[in-house]
Amino acid sequence: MKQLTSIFAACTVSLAALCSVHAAEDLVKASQDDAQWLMPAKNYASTRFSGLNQIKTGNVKNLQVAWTFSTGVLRGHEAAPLVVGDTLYVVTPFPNLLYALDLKQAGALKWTYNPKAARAAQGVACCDVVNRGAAYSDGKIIFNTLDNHTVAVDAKTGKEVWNTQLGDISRGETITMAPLVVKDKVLVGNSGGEMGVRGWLTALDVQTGKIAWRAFSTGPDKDVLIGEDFKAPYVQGKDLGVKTWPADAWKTGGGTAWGWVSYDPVADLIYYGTSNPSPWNANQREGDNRWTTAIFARKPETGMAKWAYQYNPHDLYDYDAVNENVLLDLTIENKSRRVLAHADRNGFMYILDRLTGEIVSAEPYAPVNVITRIDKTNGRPVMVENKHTDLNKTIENICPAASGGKDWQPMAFSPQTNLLYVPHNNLCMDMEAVPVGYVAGTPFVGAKVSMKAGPGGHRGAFTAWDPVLNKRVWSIEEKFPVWSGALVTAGDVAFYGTMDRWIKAVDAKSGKALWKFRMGSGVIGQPITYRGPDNKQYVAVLTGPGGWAGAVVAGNLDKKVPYGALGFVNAMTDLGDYTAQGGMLYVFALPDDVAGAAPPPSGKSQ
Amino acid sequence: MHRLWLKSIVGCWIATIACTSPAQDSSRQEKKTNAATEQLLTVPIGGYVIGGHAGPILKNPYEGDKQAIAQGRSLFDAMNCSGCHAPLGGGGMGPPLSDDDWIYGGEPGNIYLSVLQGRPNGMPAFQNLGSEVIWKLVSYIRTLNQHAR
Repeated sequence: MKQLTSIFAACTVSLAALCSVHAAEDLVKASQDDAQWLMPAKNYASTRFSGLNQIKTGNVKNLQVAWTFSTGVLRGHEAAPLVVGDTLYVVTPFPNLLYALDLKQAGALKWTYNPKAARAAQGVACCDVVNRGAAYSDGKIIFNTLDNHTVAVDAKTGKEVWNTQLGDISRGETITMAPLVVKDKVLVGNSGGEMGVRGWLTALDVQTGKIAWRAFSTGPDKDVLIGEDFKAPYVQGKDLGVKTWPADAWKTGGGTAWGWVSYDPVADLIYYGTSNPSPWNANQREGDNRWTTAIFARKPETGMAKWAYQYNPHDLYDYDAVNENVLLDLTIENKSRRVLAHADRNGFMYILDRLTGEIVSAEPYAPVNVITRIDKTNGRPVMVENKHTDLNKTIENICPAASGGKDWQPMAFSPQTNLLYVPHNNLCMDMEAVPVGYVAGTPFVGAKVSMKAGPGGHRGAFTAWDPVLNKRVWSIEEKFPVWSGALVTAGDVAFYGTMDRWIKAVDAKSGKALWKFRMGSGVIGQPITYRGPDNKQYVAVLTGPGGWAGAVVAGNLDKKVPYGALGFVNAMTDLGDYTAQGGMLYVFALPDDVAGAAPPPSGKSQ
Repeated sequence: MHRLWLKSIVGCWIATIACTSPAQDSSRQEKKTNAATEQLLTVPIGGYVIGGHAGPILKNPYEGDKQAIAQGRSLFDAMNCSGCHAPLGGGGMGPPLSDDDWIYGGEPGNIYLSVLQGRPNGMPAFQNLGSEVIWKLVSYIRTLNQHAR
């Protein structure tokens, strides 16, 4: 009775909370509005597809700069801008400033929110001080700061609504990922797989910022939120997050959730991946090291796991599984399948049944010489013995490198071409495992790595991929890793950026180059598109090189010695010959006569 | 348990690296490092000194000492300096130590203080190492710009 009363009280007092549930459910619908871009992946399925078609293959060559905005920050800009109504929002790398720009006044600055993130956080961020973007829900812009706060800011006024600390930099934790809002929950994962951080995904109440649940990636089932409903497709057993580690090693074992979250509203399941195990030196952590390098499907209300699948048991090469999961309904071998597509760091494109976690198919999309194939009977990769890492022994030419066939940089999917557009790497590495002790707040890596270009000498590619046949359709080689996100539109144009300062548009069907523009600095951000108040279609993207791949420029690292930036510097010594630091938003549109848009409602716009 | 075990490993590691010399040597070394450490308060970090620098430029008591450099190298790994600044000091999470750019000064006293006090943009303060260990680290760090050129 007491409980009932309190529930009743909560409902009447907090009508706003009740409304928010509806508002959040409306995100499914709202994300279909192509005028706006409410979450980094555009929609819950993470397709990064826009139905806008004013800019199309035939006229994209006329695209020109509409306006720009300097963020005043020099580090790697990986975020996707958001567009809500007539406002565009940009979140920067540390110090994680949030800017609101007025689309009715060519990007005039409405307000700036500064979360005052702790400077010391920069010292525990493994791979530049990046931020991958914000999320909109119910009148709030919600994002994470490097020093482990999730903040909700009033989208109109720029005033802080709530601010919740989720982690601790003195334990090596940071947050770099973009949150996803599902119903009344904000989903946030930590970073720090290079610091011996214990990974988690946390749900906060969208109205109050109060923590609703936390699901760890390692440890006993009760911590991992594994219960009766859990069914992993290839393994059985209790407390595998403890039993697959040396004693207590799971407490400093990584498995952070620093990548992307997707959501299937029909199955009511969220999907996200976990990072590498800590330390990289695999000799110090015998066993499968569950649930690192794995994908979880969970119920958003409770966080309880429905299924999990580990891509790389006892990971040897830092193959995090945090890359995005693109939810697709496909007809495969005459059967309609509800699948997800995931391009893993290990170089394989996985098509998984998203209701069970079973592998539909897994084929290499980038050069791989450490795995021969994925065994569909037990779900395990078949490893190449002579590429096994070992203590104080350098194993040469491991492909893909630690940064993977693809890293965080998200792919797109077009329902018009039925193709995935995959921005990715072509990198290999030499790796030596060395002993390392755990000292809280310092790296827990234990490896000497030096990366280099993969076969062919180019370091990146932009590839169109057929998820039904699970094979390549076309591929464009790029000098540097393609570290930007991909965007594809109903105009059959695919967009991506390059680290040598280009934004490029290609024909989504053929890959034919259609347009490129020389940006002020290298691009590792996520391009988006929206319809402005003047009915014109715009394409927006942040420049600003950095991230792990661009650390040599962002952090002024020494390119004359190997091993810098966990080995990435060796593959990027010439990046500084192509770009300097500097964060800038670029917004592109067609000239009025080409766009043929209806005139703006009032003569004042633009 | 495991974490404790690892911590004690690191502890022993430092102890063996730093304290291998016999007892009488140890007290002599202590005097030597104490004398140097006393002058740390006058180490300038700014680019110039109003009225000119008052004291002598502080020298590392182990400058050029090959054994100290070797011990410093082991300490550089044991304390996970190599985790942030990379093996050979090329930089990563922390800035490079192998080039000629020093954000907070590259003189021995500057490096000593950066290790001891930490620095505001992410360098943690290593306050429990003791002066001898820090000076040995400084000895090694000062050699990094000669590597792999």
